[in-house]
Amino acid sequence: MSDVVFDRVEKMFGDFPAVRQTSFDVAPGEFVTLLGPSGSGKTTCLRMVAGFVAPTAGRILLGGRDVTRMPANRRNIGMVFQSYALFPHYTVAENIAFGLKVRRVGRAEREARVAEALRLVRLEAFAARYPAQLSGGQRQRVALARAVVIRPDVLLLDEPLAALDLKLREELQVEIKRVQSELNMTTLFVTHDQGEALSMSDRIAVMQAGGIVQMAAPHALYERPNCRFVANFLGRTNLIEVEVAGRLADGATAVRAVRGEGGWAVAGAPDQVFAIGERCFLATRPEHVRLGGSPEQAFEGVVRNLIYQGSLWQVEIEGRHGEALSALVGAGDAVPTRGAAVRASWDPARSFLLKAEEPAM
Amino acid sequence: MTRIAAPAERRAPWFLALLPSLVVLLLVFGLPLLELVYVSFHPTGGPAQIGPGLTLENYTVVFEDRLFADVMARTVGLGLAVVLCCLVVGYPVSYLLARATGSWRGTAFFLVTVSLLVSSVVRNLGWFPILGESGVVNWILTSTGVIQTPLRLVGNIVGVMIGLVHAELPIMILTLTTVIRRIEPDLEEAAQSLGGGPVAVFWRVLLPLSLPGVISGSLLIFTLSISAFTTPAILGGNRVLIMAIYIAQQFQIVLDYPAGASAAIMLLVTAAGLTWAATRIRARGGEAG
Ligand SMILES: Nc1ncnc2c1ncn2[C@@H]1O[C@H](COP(=O)(O)OP(=O)(O)O)[C@@H](O)[C@H]1O
Ligand SMILES: [Mg+2]
Repeated sequence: MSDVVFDRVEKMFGDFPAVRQTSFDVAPGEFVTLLGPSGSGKTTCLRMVAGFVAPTAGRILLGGRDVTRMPANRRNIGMVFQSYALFPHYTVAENIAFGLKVRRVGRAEREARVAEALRLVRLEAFAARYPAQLSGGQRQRVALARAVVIRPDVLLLDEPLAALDLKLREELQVEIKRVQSELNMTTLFVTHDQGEALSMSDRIAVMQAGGIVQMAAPHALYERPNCRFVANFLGRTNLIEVEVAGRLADGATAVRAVRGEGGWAVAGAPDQVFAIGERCFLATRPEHVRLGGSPEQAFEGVVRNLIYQGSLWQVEIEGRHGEALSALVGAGDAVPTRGAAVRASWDPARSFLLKAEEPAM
Repeated sequence: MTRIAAPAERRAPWFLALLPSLVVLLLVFGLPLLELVYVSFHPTGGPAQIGPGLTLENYTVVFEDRLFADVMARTVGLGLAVVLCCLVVGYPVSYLLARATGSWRGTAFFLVTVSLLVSSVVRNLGWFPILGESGVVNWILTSTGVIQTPLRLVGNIVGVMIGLVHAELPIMILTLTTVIRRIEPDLEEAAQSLGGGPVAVFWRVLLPLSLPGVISGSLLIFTLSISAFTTPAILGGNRVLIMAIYIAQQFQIVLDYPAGASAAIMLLVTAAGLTWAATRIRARGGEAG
């Protein structure tokens, strides 16, 4: 049984659909991330689970109970806010004790559980401090401890790391993940940061314009995005407009460029059916494109731009008809110069086809 | 390099510009006040007369004269009651106002502030058609059979209270709204997510965080209530003997100037002290927020 069930939930603000008929569920102990650009409805989804926003249609179940009409304070959830939302007039220990106090947990047990929560986030030495005396990272750890100390059915986090700088953000990613798996806490996490989503989640739901466009494990999502939006929201993907030319003996699909003369074999297993003659997109990740290779599987062009990324060079190639292709080349390998004519190619198994139409939203 | 002579050096000091108004203020407010202090330390010398010699009697009377002690007690009681009513009515309104968004927020603020600008005489007289023996309230209560004989709602302390609460509520609302607006709504949601119902959210989060506003607003309204004159005079019909009315009677009817003066000084010192405290609390709350 799932801990969180989102059953055909919809939220309209006036006649604006912030969330359209959306369904998903989170299994016990699972870490699910809602990932999407700003305004795609992630926060609204999370706040509907928390009980701060009432859905205009659909049902929400927590641990099997229908909580759609239940007020937030009776749902037994733990919530972590981007703003930390620590009570400024309480010490760290008092903040963490808040949920236990309103639940009338006895003093001895309360103190023991607060101490345990402080140990969990490694802030034992800060129990008597006030939030104003803590750094951003420490505040968010207090907020995390405060949310998990009540043993919630589900932990909800709304962009908890967005206010922190990069290094702290990475530290806290690890910290949150460690606490979550130590407690085996069912977790729903919201972020617009793909790196965060990929590194922390068991599954990711990619949201766009109020709906989930794809929900899958991080590697599946990255390797096999089901549309151009997902392909470009998680990392970058080269997209070449092509037309299906035929089937090859080995089960691969032959395609030819709509503009220019290029033709390629595509061996990435298709999720969808592509008819002969259908216009679609050939997709391949920059890290799978290498310079050189056989003329049969080639993209010919001129180097337009070179972007140094530390361990890699990003090589931007422009085809004769304006098509663009991006390749990542190891800093140790031979790097072409700007303006040089190059040939790029990729393994057919590392490319796949995407429909010309985006999924109807 | 020669230093350029700053033109300011030749200019008259800035406070000279204030001098004429300072002189006027001193003449109009300072001198009468000094005279009041002077009179309050002299014995009475018969109607409208000041006797010879210095005395503290006008102040020690607080502890001896039963009538005066009653006046003080009634004044303080009235002040506390008005503060309590303003808090109970004002807090929920302030909360809604502080959390309001969109277009009607401006309208609501306008309505609250504009009621501060109505002349107190007009405001008080406006209560008579509502609270009088044949007023709206009594008409509703009698015609629905809730009561048989009309209630006395003006010309007594109830009328004074209603009038004062009405006059001072906007001040309480403006004070509270300012502090409540500074409390992040996230804090309330955090409290709710942790299992706090409305009561817990109020007592454990909202009230402690708005306490500076609650205290300074209460002090302010207490001060205004104990020194109010117009409202008690009109709605109390001169029958509710509180400090301001008592002072006026000493000067106008009893003609015991030293007694009136000492009462006025005591009221003034109390009011000044409370106002100072309210200002301090507000300044501290401002730093914390
Ligand atoms: N209370 C509200 N009233 C009106 N529109 C809202 C409200 N809350 C959110 N929206 C709109 O709903 C959409 C989704 O918002 P949100 O869930 O906050 O997105 P995200 O968290 O993905 O950035 C946005 O276009 C936002 O403007
Ligand atoms: Mg958001």
